[in-house]
Amino acid sequence: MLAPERNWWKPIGRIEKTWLTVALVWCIFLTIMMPLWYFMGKQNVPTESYRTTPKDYAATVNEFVAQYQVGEENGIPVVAAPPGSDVYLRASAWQWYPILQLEKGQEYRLHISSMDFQHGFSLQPVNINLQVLPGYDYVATITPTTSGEFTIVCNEYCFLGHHTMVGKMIVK
Amino acid sequence: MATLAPTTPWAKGAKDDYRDCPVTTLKVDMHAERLIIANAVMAVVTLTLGGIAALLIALTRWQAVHLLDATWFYRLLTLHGIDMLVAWMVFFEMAGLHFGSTVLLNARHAAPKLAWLGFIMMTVGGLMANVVVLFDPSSNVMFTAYVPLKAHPLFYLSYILFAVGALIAVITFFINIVVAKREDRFGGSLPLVVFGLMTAAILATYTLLEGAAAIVPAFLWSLGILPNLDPGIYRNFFWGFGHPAQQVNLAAMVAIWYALAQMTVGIRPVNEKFSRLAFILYLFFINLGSAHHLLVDPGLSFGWKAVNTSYAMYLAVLGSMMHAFSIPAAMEIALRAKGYRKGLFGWLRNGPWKEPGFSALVISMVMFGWIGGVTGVTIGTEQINMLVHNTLRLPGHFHATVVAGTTIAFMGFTYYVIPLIFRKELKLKKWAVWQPYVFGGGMLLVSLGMITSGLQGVARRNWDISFAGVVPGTVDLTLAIFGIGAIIAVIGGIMYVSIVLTSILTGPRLEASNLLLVAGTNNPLLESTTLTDHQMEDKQNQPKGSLVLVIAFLVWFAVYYLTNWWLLGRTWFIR
Amino acid sequence: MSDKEKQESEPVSKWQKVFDNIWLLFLLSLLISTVIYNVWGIYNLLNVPPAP
Repeated sequence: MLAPERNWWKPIGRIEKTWLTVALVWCIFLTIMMPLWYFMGKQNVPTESYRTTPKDYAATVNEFVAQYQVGEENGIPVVAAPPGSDVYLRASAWQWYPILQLEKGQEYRLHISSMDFQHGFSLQPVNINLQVLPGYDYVATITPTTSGEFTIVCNEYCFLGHHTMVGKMIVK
Repeated sequence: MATLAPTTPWAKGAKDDYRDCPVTTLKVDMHAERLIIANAVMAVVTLTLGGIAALLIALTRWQAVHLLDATWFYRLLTLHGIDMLVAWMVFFEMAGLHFGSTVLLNARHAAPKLAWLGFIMMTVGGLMANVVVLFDPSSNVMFTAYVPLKAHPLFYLSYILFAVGALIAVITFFINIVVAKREDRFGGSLPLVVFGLMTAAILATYTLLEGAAAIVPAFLWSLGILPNLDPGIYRNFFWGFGHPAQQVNLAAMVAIWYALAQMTVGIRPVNEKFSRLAFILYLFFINLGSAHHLLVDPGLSFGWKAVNTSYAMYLAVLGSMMHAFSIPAAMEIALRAKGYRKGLFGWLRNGPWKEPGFSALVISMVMFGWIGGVTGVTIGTEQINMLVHNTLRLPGHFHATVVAGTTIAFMGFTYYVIPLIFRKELKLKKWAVWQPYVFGGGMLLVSLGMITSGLQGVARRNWDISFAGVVPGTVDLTLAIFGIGAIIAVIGGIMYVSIVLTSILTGPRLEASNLLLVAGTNNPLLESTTLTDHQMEDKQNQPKGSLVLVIAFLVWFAVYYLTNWWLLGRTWFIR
Repeated sequence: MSDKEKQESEPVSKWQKVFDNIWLLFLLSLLISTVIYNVWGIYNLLNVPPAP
């Protein structure tokens, strides 16, 4: 709190040097982990995005549903596209549309966008979370490694019905 | 060696309006004193508002209690964010800036009128935000107000008023330093605590300018003047405001850690170069951490995300780890020099644990580092963030940093501001002894409850997670831990507010006669000036215990961090 | 000359002066943050291609 010496530029002590070195090595390790996993890991943050509009995206989703619908649950179409396809998910207050049916171990290009507000794609209990923005088509290349029925919870506040915005994904 | 006597005597003249503090021998400019008091009072007022909201929200997320309905939950959650993250923190920091640029520099406040203008704008903005959120249903948009959620124009205007007011106050901090230099009030370098506060002020400038870049367009959009705002660009600017605001809190907190350590234990900085370098690493790189909020956003490249989220090779994190060693090391040397040399931790055992400033300091450092810092760096790792974004793990992290860390440090510091600046006797001293422990204990449970809930997939900002129908039964337990922790923390908060209000509203104005509140009549601040270079370098006083503590911290850090990579490796493939 | 007097007469290290230069630190802080976080980030966003 008080005035330092006039000349305070002094060499640091041995214990400080030790700690500084250890801490710096840790920082370097932390830095390397991200690119390392980027190239060698199987779980990475998607980097493919496109500009779109709610109107255009809705049209694409409808085409997709019309082409691959196999059923319906509570008024929401269940859609099963062949492995390797582009599959589309539409977020709107307060609904995830449609219900995608995927096959375990197969790869799909999952597109997500919003019709209105920002939403949060939270796949449970897998616990993968992505941000969903209107005007952006976010493409995640996914391979489900577990099968069953999964829930999509919206985890970005989107006004009062936010907690009711719960969707479904099926993996056979 | 540090000196207490001013290097230049104050000129007698119309400009100088000050008093001599009988305890610290520092000169206190009367304008600064009034500004500190005003900002501190508003800080406690907004903390109280935010605290009431906190209790009600926590009792709602605790599913077994589920107190509020959805509308009130989201409304009070919005208010809680604004009152705590924006108002309480920034008001307290402005008090700190007025203090650091005058009292600690032996200088006068050179722009009191401007500072008052800033204070009034912040107060009007802060109160207006509360009123708008309470009474306008469309302004239930969370403190983040993510475009395209549209609030009432007055919502955005209240942010703008607050931010401009704060920026004006920050500017007076720099004016004071420039004038103090020009009037030869101090010689040589800024004291370390002031250097830390200056770091906070520089970060605050960037923060507030970013806030303008986010909120001014949003304001114009809410008025219908701007047709469309890109949500991605809004998020870039908003978090350019939102995360650096937390780094302002960090820098201010660290400055206060050094101050509390000097006031309660009589430290001298072990190496000024080391500590100042750590602050400079903050200055250069810590704002990049804004990217933490955008790690799973569309449109941004891996390169941008990795470089920014790492604070440039984790150099800003290195800064924190340097302070994490420096401060305990300085305390260890000072206590060992007093004779407490038994074993590795004899010095720590013999610290003044009853002294509120000391316990607040230690609890703040431990919670901030071991929980807040470790979780922060981990969940800020680009890929790991996919497991975390918008789950309750996130608030679990930041309640450990902002609340268990910064707020506890600020609370501890308040107990000295009351006798030294308000010049009132600290009442309810027994409460003050316990308060850091109660509040800290409560917040520990809050953080752990949130983190463990988030790990199970519980979403944040969500009124009723049972709608999702997926959360495992163990979530009931972890949310209950969070709820109970919140009650304990609120009790700690009530203790703090009661101590402050009772002390400042009752009893006569009284010149302080003692620096320590309960631990003794010695004056550690003055003692610190008698700590010689020889004592600092004496082999028997070297900080070996602190080295063990930080290495233990690093081991815990590694375990938590690597466990999260393992967790990530078990989920679906995604890229 | 005592140790203290010797210290008082020695010139201050140029690095100490850099650390003391508030305006330099201010400028670098703002510049680095704005370029690496804001400019690069918004550049990324503005270059998102339209949907095929």
